[in-house]
Amino acid sequence: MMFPASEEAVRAALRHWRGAVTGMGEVGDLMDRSEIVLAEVLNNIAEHGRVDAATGWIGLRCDPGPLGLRFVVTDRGRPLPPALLTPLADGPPLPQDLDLPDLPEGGFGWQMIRLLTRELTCQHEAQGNRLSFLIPRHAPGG
Amino acid sequence: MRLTSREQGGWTVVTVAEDRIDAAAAIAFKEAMRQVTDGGAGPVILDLGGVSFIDSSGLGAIVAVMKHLGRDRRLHLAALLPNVDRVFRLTRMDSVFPIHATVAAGLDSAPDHADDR
Repeated sequence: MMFPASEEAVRAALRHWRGAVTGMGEVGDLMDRSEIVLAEVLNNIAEHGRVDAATGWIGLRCDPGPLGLRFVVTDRGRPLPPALLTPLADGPPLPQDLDLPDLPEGGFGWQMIRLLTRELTCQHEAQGNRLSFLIPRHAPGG
Repeated sequence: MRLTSREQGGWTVVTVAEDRIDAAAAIAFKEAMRQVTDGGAGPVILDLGGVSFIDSSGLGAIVAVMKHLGRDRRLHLAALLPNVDRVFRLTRMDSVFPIHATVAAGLDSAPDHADDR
């Protein structure tokens, strides 16, 4: 499916995607984990101005398989932040160790993407970005 | 963003009457929370029982509300549905908020000692 790179369009696309995979008989927990990751990936494209109005379309492909749901997300914007593919050494700082004013209000997205995906790859090509990942059928602890 | 609020037993109980607190709704959520909590006193329970999905922007908005309310008006959460609870656990923000299974359970916890938990 293709849709504009806006937060409202992302919300509508997620609703549409949920209906489509429900029709394929996918189980709720796998869809729930996938929706978290998709929301982060798609809103990152929509929010961070990486695409302009003329090329501001996102492509989403979802293929069910024995291992889980395999996704390919394409856009025609600037490269994804390299931090995306850098694994966290020790996980995020423990928020309970922080004072109230120091609590983070962002940065949660990539953290959840890393925890919930497998086989995350990102290619920047002349046409734009191609991000692919697997949401495993069996939850990795989360 | 539709929120309803009521005062009960020294608490402000705010119920979110929306299915999602996501990137498209995060700013409106923050503004609506300020409107319903400004001028009040005591801790706040945010009833998320009707919210099936939050993303990182929604989570960030809830954290921003907690900061805005400050130490004297602790923000509690109640009635998290499974995929909302998952977002709090994955980001470890479940360690930051007092989280109650139900609004009633939150009201039964002593607001004066909210900072001890």
